[in-house]
Amino acid sequence: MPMTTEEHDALWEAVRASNVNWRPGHNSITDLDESERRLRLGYTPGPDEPSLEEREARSAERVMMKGVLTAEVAAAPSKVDWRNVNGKNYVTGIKDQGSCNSCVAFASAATIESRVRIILGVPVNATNGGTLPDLSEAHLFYCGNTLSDPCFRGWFPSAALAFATNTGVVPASCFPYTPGNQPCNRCDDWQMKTTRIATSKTLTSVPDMKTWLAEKGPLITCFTIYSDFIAYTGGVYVPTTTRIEGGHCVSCVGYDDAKQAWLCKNSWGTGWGEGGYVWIGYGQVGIDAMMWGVENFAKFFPSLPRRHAVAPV
Amino acid sequence: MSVMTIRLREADNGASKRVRIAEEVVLELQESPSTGYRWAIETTGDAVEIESTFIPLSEAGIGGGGQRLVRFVAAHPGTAEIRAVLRRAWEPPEKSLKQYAVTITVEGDSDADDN
Repeated sequence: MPMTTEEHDALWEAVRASNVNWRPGHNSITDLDESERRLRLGYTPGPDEPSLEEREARSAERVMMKGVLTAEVAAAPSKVDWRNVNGKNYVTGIKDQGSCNSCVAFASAATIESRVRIILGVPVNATNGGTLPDLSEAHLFYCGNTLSDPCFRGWFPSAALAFATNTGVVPASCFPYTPGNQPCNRCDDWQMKTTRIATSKTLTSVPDMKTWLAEKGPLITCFTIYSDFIAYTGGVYVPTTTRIEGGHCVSCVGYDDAKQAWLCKNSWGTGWGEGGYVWIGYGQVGIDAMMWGVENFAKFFPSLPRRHAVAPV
Repeated sequence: MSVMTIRLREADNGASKRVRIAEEVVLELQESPSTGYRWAIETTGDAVEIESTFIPLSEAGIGGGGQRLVRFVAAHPGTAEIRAVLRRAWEPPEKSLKQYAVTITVEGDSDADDN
């Protein structure tokens, strides 16, 4: 049942009144109330991770200190987009997590896939782009997640990176993803097919995040979902409501100072947002309070010779 | 005197309930907004008034789900069909994951039947 014309008009009006620059689409948003603020307490931070509330506070503080921030990052390029680095695309296709709360696995796999391609110099759209497989979100999530009822309870980026470091991740063909709790059902020769992280890093300053994005590649990031996020169809997202619906993780694949926003790869299929992507405003929804990057690998599958890292500018 | 509240869960799909004016019916539906799927609620008539809240699962990781609580207050005598569809707003209705329906009959001054 789509949103009524009146409701859609009201949302548009709220967006206009808030002086933001994004486009809500038709939606079926149910009326909510302020008690949903409690939801930010429903997420239990992982080790050394801030709560959603703390993430938002840190990001918002940076927006208030914008002048300082701009000076700090003057050395970083004004724009990065790993989908187009001199015509080369290092970002794999948009995926769909379906009805399982596996966003952490999708954000992690996407970030690892891009970093592998950047290190090996194999863009998705190169003639040899198909030599590198997409990675198995199912392996990460259904084998690495030790929470009970993982498809309802979600996961943590630090835990996903630890699993990809200690065990590695197999290609998607070895354990194809389907939404729904299930056993760890890898292919028989999975141990021969892992890509394993050697080092990863947690970033907590925006200059470090921009520098990483400019020099090394995409980053995992998590943020608070507000009820209007689902209605995003384009532009730079800034929440227009206080109604919170939990936390979510994506792969940050770029930024643009002119837009004052981060470019993020979501895992809700290509029908959502800008073909599956979203621009999230600097300092909004806790997007830039903390990000995680993959630095190097102990093992690739398949094994290909390393090339120099690709700089986007 | 406290207001009587009837609690309905997904297992009560298809049920019919009779209530008196000012009594409440609360639907408790599992939901995971971080997947993009949400319960869209629709009612017929003006017999009930709606209020919706989302309660997160405690001890959850990032992306964890919770419970959508939809509270209906019996406002006027009559019958209301409450329909809920779990779907992504940008996808066609035929791709919805679940559907749920209950019928609420609001009685006037006379006593309501046992539920």
